[in-house]
Amino acid sequence: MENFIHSFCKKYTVKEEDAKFLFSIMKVKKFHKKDMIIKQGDVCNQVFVVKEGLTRGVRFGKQESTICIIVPGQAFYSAEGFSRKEKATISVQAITDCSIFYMDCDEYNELSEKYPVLYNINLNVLEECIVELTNLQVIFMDFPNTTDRYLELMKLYPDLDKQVQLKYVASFLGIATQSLSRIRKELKAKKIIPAIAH
Amino acid sequence: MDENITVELFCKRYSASYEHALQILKYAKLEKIKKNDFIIKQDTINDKMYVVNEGMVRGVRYAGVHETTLWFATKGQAFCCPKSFAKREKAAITVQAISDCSVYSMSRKEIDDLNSKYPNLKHICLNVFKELVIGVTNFRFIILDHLNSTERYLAFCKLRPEIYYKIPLKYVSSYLGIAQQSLSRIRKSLKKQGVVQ
Repeated sequence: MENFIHSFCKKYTVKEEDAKFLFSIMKVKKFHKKDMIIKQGDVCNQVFVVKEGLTRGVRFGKQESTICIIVPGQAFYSAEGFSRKEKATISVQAITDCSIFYMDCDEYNELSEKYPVLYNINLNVLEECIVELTNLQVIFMDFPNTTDRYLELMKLYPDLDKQVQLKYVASFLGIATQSLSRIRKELKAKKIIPAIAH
Repeated sequence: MDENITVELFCKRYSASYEHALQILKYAKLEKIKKNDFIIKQDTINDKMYVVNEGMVRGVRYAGVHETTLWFATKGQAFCCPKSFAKREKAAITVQAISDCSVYSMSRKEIDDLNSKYPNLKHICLNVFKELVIGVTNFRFIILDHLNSTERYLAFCKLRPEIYYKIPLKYVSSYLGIAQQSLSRIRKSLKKQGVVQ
């Protein structure tokens, strides 16, 4: 089984055959590093699943904040576009060259009438998405100290450090890259995190 | 009468037909909750989905002595603890009545059974989930956008124009992470300028 299918099935509790069916009806598009897949302020009515590469959810306010890192096998969409046909409140940007599965929401909804399994997949994706957002929210609320917040984030996403550049982890935590670099150095010196190169 | 308004608001929020909404609520229990009582308790499992029929509730996260209000739900609005509902894990949040309330409730199993029996109701469940995603995301934007206190309050008023002026100040200040006294001052000044109610 290809890696992204395995990750997708595990993350969203989907049977392999159902996942394969889903990916057989979705199209694939390639994106270059830094391309915007969803643009904050535009209406996006497509659903996506990462096949290869990494993307990040990012909010452009007074400064930019990384909201989540999206890895192969993970689904994403603009919640506002999908349910209300309203403008996206976040962007999704490729942070490496990517291959992404995509499908129009309307088409997905129509096909769901014919293939109930698509309903169930959608339901599981949404549930997982809410749980993940809640987990992230908890980190931000319970750990005002940045070092603690970083350690909690690593518990939630043990591979994050290896997967993405430090600047995105820093933007995720709402701190400068230099500050995160210092925190990591201290944690490595105390042997709280392994001394892996970044 | 009140129930009819609840159904209408529910239909509008979750793009459901009146018949479908009635069909769901027919199977739900109606629970009465007193002001300040807890409906969902952090760190206990509660896999029910609720819809507010009367009154208002807030989602709150307790961390040590600190508490943060996460969202408010009002008439016709659905709420749950996503972790408990989706995975039967301990709730990450508490839900508290901020006025005397009545809420419709259904357990996860009851909802799954209903969805199997009436597949045409499934899309309502999806729409509820989609709105929950938007609700959880909105909270973070107020923090993430690095807004000053006045901007935060105005963002909240824009987000919930139908209820912002009805919610006790202490909960709005806990939602926005602004001291109650400061928020009181901000609100007074904005009212004077005629910007808010």
